[in-house]
Amino acid sequence: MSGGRNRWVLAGAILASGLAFADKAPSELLQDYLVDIGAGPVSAAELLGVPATAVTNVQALKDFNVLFKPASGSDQKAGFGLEITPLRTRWSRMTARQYIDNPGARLLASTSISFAKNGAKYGGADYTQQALALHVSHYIDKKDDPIVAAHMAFEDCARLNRIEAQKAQGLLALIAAEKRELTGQERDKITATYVTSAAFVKLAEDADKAVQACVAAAAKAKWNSPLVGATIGNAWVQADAGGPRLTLARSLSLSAVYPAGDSGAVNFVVRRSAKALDASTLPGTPAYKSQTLVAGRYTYRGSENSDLFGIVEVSNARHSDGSASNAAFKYALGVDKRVAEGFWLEFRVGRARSGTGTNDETKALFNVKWSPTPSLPTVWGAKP
Amino acid sequence: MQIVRKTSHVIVTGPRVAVTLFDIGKAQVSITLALSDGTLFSYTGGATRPSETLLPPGNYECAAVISAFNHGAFGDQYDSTVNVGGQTVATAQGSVQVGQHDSGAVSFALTVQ
Repeated sequence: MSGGRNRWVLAGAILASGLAFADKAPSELLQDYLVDIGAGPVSAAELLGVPATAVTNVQALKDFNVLFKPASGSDQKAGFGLEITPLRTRWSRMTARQYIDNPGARLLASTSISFAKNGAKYGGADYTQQALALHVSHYIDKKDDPIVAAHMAFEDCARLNRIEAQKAQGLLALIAAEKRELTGQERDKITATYVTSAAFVKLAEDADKAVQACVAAAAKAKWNSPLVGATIGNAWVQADAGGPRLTLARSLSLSAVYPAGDSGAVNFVVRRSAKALDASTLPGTPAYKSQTLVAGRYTYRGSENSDLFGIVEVSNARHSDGSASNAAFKYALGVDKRVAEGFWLEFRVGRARSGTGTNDETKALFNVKWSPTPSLPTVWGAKP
Repeated sequence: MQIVRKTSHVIVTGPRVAVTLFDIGKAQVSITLALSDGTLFSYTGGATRPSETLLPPGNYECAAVISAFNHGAFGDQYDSTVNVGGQTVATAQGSVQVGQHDSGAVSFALTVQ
């Protein structure tokens, strides 16, 4: 990709994030109670090994997510990725009712598109890698879905119903006090006075607070709810000095997360690459193979209010396999740290294929993920 | 919120009286209809289901309240309808800004024959 095209991608990211910020109001919103339960996936980046993990964060789909990995070491160049879930953005026309009632709508609204790019050095030459991926995730029990839970909480908000009944009965009392048959104009005059009265305004304020309280109380942040996901993607590589663009991998991965008690979650991923480039054959004649990568992760959260997640992950990545997927950690320890709403740091240290591909070496990697204002999927519950 | 009252007097044949409250917008909307005999109907964003009540012949006063809430998750548009005995009595359309709420009321007479 040329520098010009890079700038367009970055400009798009900045524009989208700016619009997302512009949508945020300063008052106390449910957004203040939003659950930001994970760093979120950038699936295309995983195809390139940008985050050096084979495990997808299916439990934290965002409307818009940016990943940045700074360069570290001679063979680890900087990389970045963008992921957008179109039907979760503020431009989506999907209604909550459609989302709640229709499993197909939930699937569509949980489908994201991602792009990633990084640099790599193969056989002493510099290469640029790019990937595109389509990712979909699905809550096994729809009541675990934050959007569903939030809306059901609104529908079942008894306090709201009581307040709204009070409002209607207040108007009935004024009409009854007239003790005569009223014309339409007389009714409208009484109503206009009533809806601007201090009593009605106070009830309206109370109703709004009741809605917030119902939704906030309805659901604790289930950061480890059972979810399944699938990703299909394609990655390419091209020498910076020129030459043909080669397929790096064509992959299909299936992923799942399942709770391990209140404090834990287990992720499991199987990624099948039908055409994985053995990068050790570069810059010569490229060789391809099919391969399967299996990875698992255990995530521990000390308390339900903690912003720090401990990570242990393993995979069957092999240093003898020169494909991009096998650049993932064989095993690693790490932490995910939420430093601000939508802003996550991922740190890993573990064993992975060395730059020469002849053995394993200990690597430490650091990623930054940022999701400006994930509006739709974060409407419920208390802060994590 | 501006509620458009379509009629100030609804005449229906009883004793079964159908009431349908619904909204087809994206905001979170609550619609409540109170009758002077104490009967209450409410809608809070669920599937639209006509309700029915048994009312003896007579005259009733009715008050409907429509409230829309936008907490940034379900959109800002409301498009609400109050339907009694198959007749559209009141409608409200508009939008509510993020973090805001809006509420309006309307009254009408109901005669059950």
